[in-house]
Amino acid sequence: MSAPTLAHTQQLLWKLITAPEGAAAGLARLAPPERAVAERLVRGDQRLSALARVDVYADMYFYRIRDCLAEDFSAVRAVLGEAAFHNLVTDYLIAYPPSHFSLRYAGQHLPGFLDGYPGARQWPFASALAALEWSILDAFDAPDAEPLDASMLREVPEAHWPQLRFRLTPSLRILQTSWPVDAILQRVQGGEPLDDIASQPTATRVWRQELRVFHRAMDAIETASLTAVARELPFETVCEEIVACVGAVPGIERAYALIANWLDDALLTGFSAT
Amino acid sequence: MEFPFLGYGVGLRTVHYGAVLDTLPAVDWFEVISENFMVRGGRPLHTLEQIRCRYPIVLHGVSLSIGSADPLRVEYLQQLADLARRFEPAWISDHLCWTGIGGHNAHDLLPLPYTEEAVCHVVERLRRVQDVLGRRILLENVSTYLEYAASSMPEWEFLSAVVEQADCGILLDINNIFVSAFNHGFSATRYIDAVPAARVHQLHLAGHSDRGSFLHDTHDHPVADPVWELYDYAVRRFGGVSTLVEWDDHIPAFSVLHAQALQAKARAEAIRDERSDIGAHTAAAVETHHRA
Repeated sequence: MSAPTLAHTQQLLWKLITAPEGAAAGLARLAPPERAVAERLVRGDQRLSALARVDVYADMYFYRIRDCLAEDFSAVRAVLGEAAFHNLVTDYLIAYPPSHFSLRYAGQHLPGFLDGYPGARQWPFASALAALEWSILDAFDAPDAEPLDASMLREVPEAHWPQLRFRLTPSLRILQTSWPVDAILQRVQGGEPLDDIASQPTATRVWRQELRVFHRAMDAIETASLTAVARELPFETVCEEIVACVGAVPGIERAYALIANWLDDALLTGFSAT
Repeated sequence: MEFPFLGYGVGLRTVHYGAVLDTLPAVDWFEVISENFMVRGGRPLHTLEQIRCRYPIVLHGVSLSIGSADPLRVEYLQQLADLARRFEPAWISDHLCWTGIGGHNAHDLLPLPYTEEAVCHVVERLRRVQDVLGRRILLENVSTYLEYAASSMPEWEFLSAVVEQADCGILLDINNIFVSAFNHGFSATRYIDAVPAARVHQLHLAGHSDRGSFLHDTHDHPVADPVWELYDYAVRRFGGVSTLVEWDDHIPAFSVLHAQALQAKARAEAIRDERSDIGAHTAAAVETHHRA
């Protein structure tokens, strides 16, 4: 039997080290002709068999990624517990083996994977919580942007305000979930019980100010307004949305209060007047 | 100078960012993991800017996957080139291994079969990588736990063939040689004797764990005594080569890690002094002999 090519060697080893039950089970699952090649792929000796040597790599593959995901999704891990989180990672890696060159992106599909995952049925908010943790990670290394200087806005003539379109920090994420994830995360981090958590449509903004990442639940008016700004709609349209909710005078006051708050939080990075 | 002597450095890890920037320790240089800084913004790049203002740095990659049968990742190379342009590292290094196949990434340094086919494959890819980066790079030997039945040469011959044909340098990891020598039953000193000395521009040191039937390159301990002895052997062969200590798990206080780098410096300087003494004694003996 001729030696396998480099590509075939790597394909076979990949199958063995990513088999969730270990190299022996991975080998047993191969079709007979492929198994025959795989059985002769690696040298074993009296100290360590060929399969035991492959298992060293199988363990490193799993545990390195599990440790990374445990760090990136520490709240999900705390909620699920070690055993359920271990099983989650096992199932997740079968569905989504890492494809990005950076380990940083290993968990990019985990929030979606958790949605409806049978092993997390006991924690129906787990997918939403994972989405918040992923958004926090995403904001952490999002592109930098200088915050808008409030004095620049004060120089804008009043007549130009209706057509102002704001630019938002590239680190901003607006997360729509069926659970109050902001409150859930705070409870998990504080070690508080989650027994009375109830489903509740929630919008959360996640953003980075200087080098720190923040997250905060928003009310319906801020959610609609910030979403409108993100769609680059003019300030006039943003105001109309708020006025429709709360009336003319309080609506305009709220709109300016939101702008002031977004400036304080460094959400705004620029504007155009046309 | 293409690969200058930087002295004795340490691998920069996230947990030490604060300690390093607050105290500005007298470390000769830092090695950083390239992929940790291939991000769009935020704290990692901000921190690296601060470090780079004060120290020489080297970019050390873990995802080049130079030996993979998959196509080279153009996006990865472009990001690495951008990072190098921005931070001007003294050099760039990665590993003689593969990390994935079929578009997937194991995030591990997987061993290659030591065959002529693999030499040709890696050499051709290394030439393209060095073209894109506009510079020669260093390749590091990895710790291995398995050997392929198809291998037709020892690891040191494979490494030497690759670097000679691709015209790149070697980052020789002394701990990895020690670990692999134990795991496969070859002589570590024979490995060091066999690699082309003129191509060795950096040495790595790290700790490992004894798993009974094999040694595991865990980077979670101080450098083991036999690895220090192997380091001494390497310094005697290669002379003054930039040396770096890595510590990636159960990371201690920065001062503990720095102390390991200072120990490497003390050992290398003791060997240099010993050689100077031998040189002086030899010269004196020759002089006496001539007078007689």
